[in-house]
Amino acid sequence: MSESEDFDQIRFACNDFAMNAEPRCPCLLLLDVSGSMNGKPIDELNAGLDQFRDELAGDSLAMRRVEVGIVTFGPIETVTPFTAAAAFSAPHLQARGDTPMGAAILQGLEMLEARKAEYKANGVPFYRPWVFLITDGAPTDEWKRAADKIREGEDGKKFAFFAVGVEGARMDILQELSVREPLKLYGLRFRELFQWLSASMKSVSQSALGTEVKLTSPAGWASV
Amino acid sequence: MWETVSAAVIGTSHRDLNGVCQDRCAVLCTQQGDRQWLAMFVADGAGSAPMAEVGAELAVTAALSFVESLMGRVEFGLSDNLAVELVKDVRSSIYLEASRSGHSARDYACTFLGLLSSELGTLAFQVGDGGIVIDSGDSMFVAIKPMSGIYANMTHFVTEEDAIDHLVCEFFPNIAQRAAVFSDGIQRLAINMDSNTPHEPFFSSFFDVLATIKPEKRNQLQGALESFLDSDQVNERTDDDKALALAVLRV
Repeated sequence: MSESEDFDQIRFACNDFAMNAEPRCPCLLLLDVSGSMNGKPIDELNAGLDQFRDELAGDSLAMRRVEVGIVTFGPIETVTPFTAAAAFSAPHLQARGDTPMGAAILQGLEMLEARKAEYKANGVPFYRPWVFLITDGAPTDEWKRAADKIREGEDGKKFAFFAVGVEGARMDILQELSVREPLKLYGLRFRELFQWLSASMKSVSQSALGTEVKLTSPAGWASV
Repeated sequence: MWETVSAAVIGTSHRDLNGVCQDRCAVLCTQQGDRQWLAMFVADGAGSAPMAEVGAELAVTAALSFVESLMGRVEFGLSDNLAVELVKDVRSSIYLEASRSGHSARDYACTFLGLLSSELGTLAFQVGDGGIVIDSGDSMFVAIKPMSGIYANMTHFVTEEDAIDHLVCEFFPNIAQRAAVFSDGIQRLAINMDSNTPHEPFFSSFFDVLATIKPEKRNQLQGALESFLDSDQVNERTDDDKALALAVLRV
């Protein structure tokens, strides 16, 4: 059979949205990989991401419902476009660059809106997305616009935005960025953080659409 | 006339176990005088019944002969009575075979789903799990609320003494523009379980092909559906047998 004939073969093909009617639960991670994260912090962050993946993989419903997207800064890079938990592999991040947090937030939120548009176009219902910012510094760029977007999004229930400050983070700026109280990570407890995050994603993905899930306390890894 | 395709493919768990697919399905486009009719049937043999695939086969065959004889009638109504009549025929066929071969009817246990459609309207009926999705022009909907037995993993079978009590029928006044009948192996992919609505993107990928297929390509449809039902992307989601019958009205 020639290639052109082969190309003409009738095929029934379905994309991931067509094959999986489950409501999606998007989780966007905005991760600081600036130079100051170098060494132990970035290693622990990577270990945390591995843990995140493993914990999601242990939950069959979360595997079908949770989607993970990762944007790192600096420089700003979409390391993982929104990916089904079943297909997600934790990236190995390296620390370098400065901290363009404001622009990274804007890019991440745009990516989130684009994903939501895809859900809608494919008739896939979705939970309120989670955005999780982790940083050990202060923005080196303009961040007021990002703060406005976050406030708008929270007010419109478009997403829930959580900010986590690692030792050295400007908690006062995180306070201004985030509507919710920012969390201060104890030491380098990234693994506990991601354990909490995966447990939270599991609870959300088990909940009925449109209901508020009561979050467990982050007391094991952070202080408010 | 409707463009149709149907296929039943063994699930990975059965392939490992005994190599027998216990789902059956059939689609028939036929005529009563000038009036065109669509008939679609699916039967899912119970994993626990030793002759389940024979039961499913008998059920679908009996239903097809019922429709063929129906076409000879001058008049009939698309009503609950018609569905009861058809299901009784299915049952007699199985009970006859059971007594002939010295088995109990229970050994042939299977679910049964059917759809009949013409310009007079559309009748959907089912005993046991599986699903029927219809689009009569406005929107796609699940024809009959999914049913299960007292327990989540229990269903009803057409072979049960009180099968007629578990037969659920729905009549819709319009012709089926697009329709799908499927066993529970497909149900998880095709229905949003929370809202009991069809997962439209799943069906669109099939209906779009059927709506535009060229006559010379028709002979590829069955093979393409079988490949799909046996693909990794389907087998990752279900290890059960799966039967899927599809029809799109073309003018």
